[in-house]
Amino acid sequence: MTYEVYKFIPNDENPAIRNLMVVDDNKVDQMIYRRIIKRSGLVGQVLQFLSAEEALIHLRRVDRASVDAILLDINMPRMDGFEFLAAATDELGDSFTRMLVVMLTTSLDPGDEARASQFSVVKEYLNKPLVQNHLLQIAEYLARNATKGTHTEG
Amino acid sequence: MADHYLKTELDHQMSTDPEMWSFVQQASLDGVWYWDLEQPDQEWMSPEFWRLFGIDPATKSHNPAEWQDIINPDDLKIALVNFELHCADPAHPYDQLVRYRHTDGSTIWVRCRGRAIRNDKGEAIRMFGVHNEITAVRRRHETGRELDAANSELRDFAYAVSHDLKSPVNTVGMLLDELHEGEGARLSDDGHHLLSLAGESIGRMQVLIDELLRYTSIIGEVMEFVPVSLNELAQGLLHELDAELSAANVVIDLQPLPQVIAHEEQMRLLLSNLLTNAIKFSRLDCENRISIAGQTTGDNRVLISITDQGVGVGPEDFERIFTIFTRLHRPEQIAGTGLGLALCRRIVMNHGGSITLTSDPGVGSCFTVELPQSQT
Repeated sequence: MTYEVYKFIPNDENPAIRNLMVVDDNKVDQMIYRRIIKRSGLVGQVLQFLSAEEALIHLRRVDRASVDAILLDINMPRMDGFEFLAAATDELGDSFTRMLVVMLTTSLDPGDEARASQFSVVKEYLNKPLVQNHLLQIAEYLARNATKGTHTEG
Repeated sequence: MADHYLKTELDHQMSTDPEMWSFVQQASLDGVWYWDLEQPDQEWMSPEFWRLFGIDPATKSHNPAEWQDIINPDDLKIALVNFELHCADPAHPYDQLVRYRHTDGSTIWVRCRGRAIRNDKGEAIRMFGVHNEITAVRRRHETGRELDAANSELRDFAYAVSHDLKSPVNTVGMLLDELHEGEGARLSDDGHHLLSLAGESIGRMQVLIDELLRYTSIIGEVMEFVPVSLNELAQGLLHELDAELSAANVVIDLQPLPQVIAHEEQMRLLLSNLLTNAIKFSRLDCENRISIAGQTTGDNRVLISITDQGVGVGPEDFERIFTIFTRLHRPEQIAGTGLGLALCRRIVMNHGGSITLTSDPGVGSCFTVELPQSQT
């Protein structure tokens, strides 16, 4: 297994965020994200990846469930967040996720934010650490854009 | 157009009075040489040339082998290539920097220029040349480059370290939150107290790292100067600081500020730091007034002053508080990292200006920023 899946809310209960991917190389951070995500009561299931390469391999699979949102760390060894963004949009277009949220390590990365904003799939930025309110923002974005109605399979 | 009469007269003087040439040589040249290309072992060198390297001219014969012996071999190759090219084509300059070995072992830098004198067929038969010694210039240049490299390495190091610290500090902050969230109900009062102290310490560390990142990021930043409205900047900042202002019981007196040619983000950081500083040191027992004023002086400098009625600073600390990591209070008394005013001074330095403080303990402080506006 190249990633971990945790199911919190069954699909028939219509969670605000059905399928969330988190890409971050820090294991402890991932554990804390998982607890925050579970506690939020907003997320159906979370897929956690410790490397961007593994996340990319998963996105290539034709039999995967559709992804509502991806939380993406920037500073990762080997393939960093930007390289992941470039590779994913190159290969898969913009539709591999409904929204992508870039997690910035510092509030002082205007350069990083500008760089990330060049990808249309990037809809939000959040400054680490992840808090409940960030998940609420993601849920609200998805609700606002739900009318486009691609959200049928599960 | 005919030459000025003085130019004609000067030319005449130069060609008739040998003292004129000797004056030019002594006043502006460190060496002169004259080479017979038809008898290439004959080259007259001025005595001044040998003295550059601590050599007694009397011990040297007028033979090019003499100087070829103490010149840097790589530089000699370049000089010989230029010599060949110049002889073939007058448009190719004979002009290069070469290194000679001084008798004390040190390196002497010499700019060596020359021009060929040609016969009727255009063949080079003599070569006349001059030397200028530029070792001091060269050394300054090299020291400057080494300093630049050292500075930028230091900046990259500080940035990388603070950036790498950021991640574990975030993690610990989140762990403490999780501990509070998950186990809070089971903790004793003492446990809660310890947890909140840990949280405060981590919070301070996060602020410190942010400030450190901010500080290092403006060292050697490429400076793009644009017109900046200090009025708009100040109004925007005051809006952001609204909550802090009322909490600290501060009234702001914002007078019209001039427009400056400056780096916009750095001006924002400068004003923001000076303002938060003034708010931070306001007195708890009464209303505080902070005045922000600016003026353009006759000699095209902009003066901005921020005057508060806060706790003030003794004259012994006027200079010291701008030093990085210098704090006059413990963190429990007044929060801070010792980076704010160091950042201000760095920004002002980046703009070729100065920042000064006058203050009376118990009465208030006035920070004055002076920015030259010669860029306009």
